[in-house]
Amino acid sequence: MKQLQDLLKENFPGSEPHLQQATPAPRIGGFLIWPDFEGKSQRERQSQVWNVLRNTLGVEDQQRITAILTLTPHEEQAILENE
Amino acid sequence: MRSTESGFNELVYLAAAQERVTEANLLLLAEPPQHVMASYVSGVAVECLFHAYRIRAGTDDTAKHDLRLHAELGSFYDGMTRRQREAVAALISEIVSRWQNNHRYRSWEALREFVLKHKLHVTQGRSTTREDVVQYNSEQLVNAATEIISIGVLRWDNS
Repeated sequence: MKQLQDLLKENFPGSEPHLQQATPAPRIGGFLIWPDFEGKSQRERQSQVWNVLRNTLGVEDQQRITAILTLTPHEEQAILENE
Repeated sequence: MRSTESGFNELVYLAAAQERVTEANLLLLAEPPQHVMASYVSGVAVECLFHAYRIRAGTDDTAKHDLRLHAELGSFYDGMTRRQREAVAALISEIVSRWQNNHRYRSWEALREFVLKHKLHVTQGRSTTREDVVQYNSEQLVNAATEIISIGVLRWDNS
């Protein structure tokens, strides 16, 4: 998990990866919060993330990832608002 | 933790939603992109998410493949502000208009006919290139599905 965390931080400077162990282990998933996703579609963001993962991780490590969901800090805040 | 007749509990569905939506995105990144399967899988991802919410809410599965009803049965809008509810309803409408459970049986040409018949390639009165309508439809679907999965997973983790 630390390897993936470091990889995301290195390739998305200023980002906050919130990763967690999926059930069942050893799968990993989570959110990547990054201001520079602003103005990009979800598809473009996924393309950006998976380009990094494919270029740096082996197939087995890629298969351990359930999802890296992407949001800007503003989107994260808006989603978490409650009535 | 409740399970359905199939034996899947809410956490299985929540994990499956994230895996399916990742697969939908990867199908679009494949060379060549797999638009028909990406379209189908993105709707399945949203169904998985709503199944997770429905099981947590303790309601029975009477929605079949009706995504709007799925959202209601799962109390998906509970606690959301009016602005959030409107945004989520718009995303669900986008998906409902573009996705059908029988997309898994469609050939590329059959999906193209579906898109043209329902004018899903027309946006703000302008049509996209007719050759690209399947691509356009799958990209809109995958975008909307990824957004709704992000909302659903984040609110689940923080509820």
